Amino acid sequence: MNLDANDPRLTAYALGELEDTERAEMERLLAGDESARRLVEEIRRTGELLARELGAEHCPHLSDAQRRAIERQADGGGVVSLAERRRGRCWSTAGLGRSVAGLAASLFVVATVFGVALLNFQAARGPRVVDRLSEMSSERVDHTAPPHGMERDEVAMIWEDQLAQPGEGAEGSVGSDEVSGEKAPVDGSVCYEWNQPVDSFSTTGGTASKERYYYDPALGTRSSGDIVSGDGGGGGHDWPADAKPKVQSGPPAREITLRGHRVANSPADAADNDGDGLCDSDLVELSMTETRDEGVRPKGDGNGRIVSINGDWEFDGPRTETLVPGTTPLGDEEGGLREAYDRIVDNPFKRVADDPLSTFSIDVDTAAYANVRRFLRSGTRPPRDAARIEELINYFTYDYPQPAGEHPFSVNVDVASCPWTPDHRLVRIGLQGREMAGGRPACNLVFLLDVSGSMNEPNKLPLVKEALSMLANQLTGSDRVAMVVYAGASGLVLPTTPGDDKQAILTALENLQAGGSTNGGEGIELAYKTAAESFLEGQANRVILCTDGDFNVGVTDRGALVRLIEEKAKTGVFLSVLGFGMGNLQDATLEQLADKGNGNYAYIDTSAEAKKVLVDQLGGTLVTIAKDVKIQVEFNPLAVEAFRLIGYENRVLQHQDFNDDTKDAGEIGAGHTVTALYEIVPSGTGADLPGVDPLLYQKPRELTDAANSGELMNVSLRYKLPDADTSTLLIEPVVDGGAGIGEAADDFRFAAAVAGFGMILRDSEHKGAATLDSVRELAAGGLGTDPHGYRTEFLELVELAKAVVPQATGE
Amino acid sequence: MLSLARFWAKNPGHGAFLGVRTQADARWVMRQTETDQRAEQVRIALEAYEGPLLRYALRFTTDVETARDIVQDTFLSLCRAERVPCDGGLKAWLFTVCRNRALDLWRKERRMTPLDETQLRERPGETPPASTVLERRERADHVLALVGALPERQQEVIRLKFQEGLSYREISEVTGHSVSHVGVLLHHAMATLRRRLSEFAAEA
Repeated sequence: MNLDANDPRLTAYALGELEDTERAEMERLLAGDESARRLVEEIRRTGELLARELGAEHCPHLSDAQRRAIERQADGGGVVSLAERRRGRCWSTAGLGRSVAGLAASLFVVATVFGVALLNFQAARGPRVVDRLSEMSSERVDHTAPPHGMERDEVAMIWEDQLAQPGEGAEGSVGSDEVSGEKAPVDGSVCYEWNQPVDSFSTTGGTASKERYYYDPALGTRSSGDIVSGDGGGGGHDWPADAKPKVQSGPPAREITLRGHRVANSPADAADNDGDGLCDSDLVELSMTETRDEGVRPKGDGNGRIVSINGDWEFDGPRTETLVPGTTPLGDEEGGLREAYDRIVDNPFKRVADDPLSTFSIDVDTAAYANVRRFLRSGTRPPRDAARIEELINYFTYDYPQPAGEHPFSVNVDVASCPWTPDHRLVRIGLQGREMAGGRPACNLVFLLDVSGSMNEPNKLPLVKEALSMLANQLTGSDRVAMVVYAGASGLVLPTTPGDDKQAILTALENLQAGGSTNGGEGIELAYKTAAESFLEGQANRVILCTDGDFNVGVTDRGALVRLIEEKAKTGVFLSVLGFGMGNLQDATLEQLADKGNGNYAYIDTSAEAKKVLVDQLGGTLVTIAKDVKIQVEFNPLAVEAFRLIGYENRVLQHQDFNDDTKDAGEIGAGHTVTALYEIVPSGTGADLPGVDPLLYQKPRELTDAANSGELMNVSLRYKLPDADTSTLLIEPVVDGGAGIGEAADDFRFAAAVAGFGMILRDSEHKGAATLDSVRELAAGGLGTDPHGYRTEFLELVELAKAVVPQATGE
Repeated sequence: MLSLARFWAKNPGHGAFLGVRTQADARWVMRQTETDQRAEQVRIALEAYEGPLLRYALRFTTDVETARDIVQDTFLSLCRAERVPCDGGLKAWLFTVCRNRALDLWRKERRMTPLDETQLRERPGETPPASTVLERRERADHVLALVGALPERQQEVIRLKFQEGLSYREISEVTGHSVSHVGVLLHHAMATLRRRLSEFAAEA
């Protein structure tokens, strides 16, 4: 294979940037490619030339005074007087004749005055300080003499000093963008961001776009966009660069709000009708808190930047997963209305005399759990219909034995007493999919990415990129990846590429930008077409759809969209759906798409979840080991009076669908577990359930000998191998050992606890005596080894739920 | 340089300090507890990186004084930071802080004029380069001019790589681009430069 001249690895290799395996690979390729070797040599020579010429470029120097200031600071603080800290033109024109000492002295006096003014906030002093602030934060480029006879930057520095080292007057270090002297947030790399719409501000006529800023206490601010290119997107907005992030150590003693006006400095600015140089309506507002420990500080939302500028700027608050305690993440109030969940009616108890069969399709989706978690963490009660109990239970892995025989999964059933209604029994049916032994099949993946405007949020497109990078990093040369985007227009941004070409894949991911409205239908067509073109016979072929589900344009009719997916699924390319974001989450749509697409649906709200789905459980997500898996249970009327399937409401099948191989059902991925719970009313308990009137034309059914076997029920399973068209039948009779829930396996108790939790969230009429406390206790008893901490996290969620779900007084 | 030698003599473990790239991923050292350690570190950093940081800061502003402020702030950050990377990681850290500070100021002052090579050299008060050989001067000018003609992103990456000697990974840290993107930018920039240089050589 000849190397393409456009391959960036050539340069990387020439410059010695490739490591180990990549370098070896490169050397191997170069060995057989004369022209590429010459190219590499050229690159090397050019590199040397550049290093020589650029390296010789002259370096300027700091002034002696500046150097001394730095050294003094390094030696342990002390005053950095204004003389040593130069601040632009103001200083250089101001008066070189002034003696350093004299200035420092006058500075000290002024600083004390201001310090006093701040600490004992007097209205009379307020406006002057505010004027300074508004100057600081203004876009004024003209640094001619500021009003009030003070150097603009002297004032700025005094203010900084006050903030940096409260209570020390002009003593202390000059502030800059880092947390000085206070404890940085525990995870030193906490970043947060906010959006500042530029278009409402820009006076340079640049393109309207949003910019994002990240603030890292150690490193200062950085931006996600490319400011350096100066495409005009940077104009007009501002915030005081010397405001500091805040980690509040105690309740504020006093809160001070300062308001000021933005300085009008160009004709395009908001009107300045009274000609005083200040915009009439634009306000600069800063909130300060004063605490005993820390004196006067800018106030954040616990740890955020403080600027709240009327109208054009909002401080949105931290949006990353590493939250500093005490902060509340943003909820998307308005957007919340756009989320859509299918209505679920709990499966009722059914009398065995009327219908002894229960038929349903399995489900391995986990999205509901992640979604519910998202709500609870933001302090809101999840919508009832968002809590699909089977998905809550199936989020966790259970310790079922690996399949031993010919079937791709094992079937495990056990019975115990029902925790929330002790007279009843609880049956747990668990399927364990076969783990991938050694290698997994090669994968032909097409990422189908929603890059519409609605994806332009920090917990959406950036998280998508991160999640897919994690996935891409696990692919090898026998895998194939392509990338299709859809938003307004759809397009193939990465043609089918071998999985080891990380450069190409990661670059394509990197370059994704959000914008436009969504036309899901066209993108899906293109994605499936691409997958079909690079189809790997007998291997895993899959489209991975990443979206918030907001299909705005084109095939908006959900039915039509679903039919499209269904049709495409028949071609042997399966679908996984990864849901992102909040506010626009079309949960019901996404679940249905995954269902019809013979795939699974997961909701990704954090990097940790992305890792769980795309790294830890990659096999399950990508590799299907059995499809159209259906369960049919027949209950023994001698043993069971009534039963209720917990969850799986939207998976229930008609009884005749069980044998009908044309009827679609759920898939199991490699290593996946599926758990279903039945609540049983044993015969003789005298359940008070509505029944059907006796029939006129038929006698009640006759019992067979099997009914006397002492079996509780019989579980039948049908499944198809991934490329088969006919199903295989599995049968598993079940006997009730009479165990109480306390004697049941840890996993069983934990699953029961999760079911109870789900019922409470849904406010189900069948929840019996379940309370959040009893759920927590039951779950805590069933924690087991919990290697990934998922179960412990569940306990946290139960606690969080206490705040938002009204509790009946416990017993 | 003398102080460097003294430092190495006192702390043989720090031999890898300054200018030598380490391959290690673990960058952050435990916070320094002794002021002299930090003071010494700062002095050494000052000596080694004052010039390069200034040169880099000048990419972001036309004004030497502003650039000096930026670099001074960078070193002050170093003095005050709770945790700093040791050895090889320090360089990238300094450049990152410098870049962020420069961009902060740029945003504040909203002034971004593309830097012209001639402007750089015509600064008042700066001593011209020592080289007087005309031919070399011409070629140097030319290379600088060619680099200056590159798109901003590529230019920044080229300078960080060849002028400051940062690795792909360090450049990724400083600029925020992913490592692979850095590779792509460099590759394209090199291709352009090679092409233009060979055209120049052909004419000469």
